[in-house]
Amino acid sequence: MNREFQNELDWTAFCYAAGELTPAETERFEARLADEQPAREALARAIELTQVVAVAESQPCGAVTVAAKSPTRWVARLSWMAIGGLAALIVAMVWSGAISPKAAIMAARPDAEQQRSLAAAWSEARQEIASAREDGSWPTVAASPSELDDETSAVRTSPSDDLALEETPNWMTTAVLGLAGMSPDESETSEGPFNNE
Amino acid sequence: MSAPPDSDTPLDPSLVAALYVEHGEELRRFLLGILRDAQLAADVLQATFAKMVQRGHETRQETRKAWLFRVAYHEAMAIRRREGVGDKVLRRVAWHTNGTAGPADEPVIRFEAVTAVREALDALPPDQRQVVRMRIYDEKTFATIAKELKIPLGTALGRMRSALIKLRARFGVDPDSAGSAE
Repeated sequence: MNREFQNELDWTAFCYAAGELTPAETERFEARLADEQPAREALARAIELTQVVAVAESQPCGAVTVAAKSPTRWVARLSWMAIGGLAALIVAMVWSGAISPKAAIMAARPDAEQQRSLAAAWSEARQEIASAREDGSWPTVAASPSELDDETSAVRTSPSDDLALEETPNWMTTAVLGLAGMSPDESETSEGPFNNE
Repeated sequence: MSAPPDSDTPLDPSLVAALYVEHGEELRRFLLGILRDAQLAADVLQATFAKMVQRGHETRQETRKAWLFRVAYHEAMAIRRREGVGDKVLRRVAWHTNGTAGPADEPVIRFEAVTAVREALDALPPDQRQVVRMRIYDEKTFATIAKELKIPLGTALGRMRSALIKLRARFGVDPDSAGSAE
């Protein structure tokens, strides 16, 4: 397109947008708008240019630069994106079961081998104490109250203690069974370290 | 040479969306130039693309932009006639919106364009810049400007025209690439 023609068209479009044309000129230009795509595009350019000039004139240079660059806005956006990503990751991990209250409890529990060793040790200790008592080798002398103060000087025994060793408290049995992953009923019916008596 | 329009198959919605991305802002400015109202311009813009969805398959690819502008123009003129938007509203400056439209209805102004135009404004001769400022920012008519500056009307017009040519050159619009025949 001829540059002079383009300039003429742009000038007419600007005057039209600015309302500087006479009614007759306005009518003629609108007739061109109805038929000529270059005239339509010239009007769009005139509007864009004048809007940009208005913005450029209305704002101080520094203000526009800061508002347009606005690093804090980007920092804020990135922060929110990071928070969102982290939240999504946590939700995904919880959803997949990697993080859950149940998983934390399972992690805190000793493993099955440990549980079996504990139960076996407890059972053996009971048997040894019981056989020692039958042989008469289990100390039955009650310590004096003064001696009781020194826990290392004597082994404190009493009939109630013997009873305790012979009859394991329910809570302890339940606790050990629970650690082993068994129920009290199972311990009665199955062979294992708790059925040695 | 593109294929002839298929009058039976509706235009692919993604194609209409692409047309909106490509021409939507330019069309919005064009409509603003006719209607001088951002909300009305947005309404006509939507109506225009709604017609493109309905009848776009009747158009050829190379004429779709011109088709959009033509439909938009007729829609805008119909609204002007219907709502009595006549010469009175034409006296209002087109680049100042009336504030009733939301940000989504306002034409997009590129930061790079503002920077370039500001540099170009700084490079203008003082007398030209003064006229630009009085006309666009202060919204004074050329007659008022000429009177206040005590210069002939033709001189005020000439300064403005020269300034616009320089601003457009810095604005990045290539006249040779702009415009396509319908």
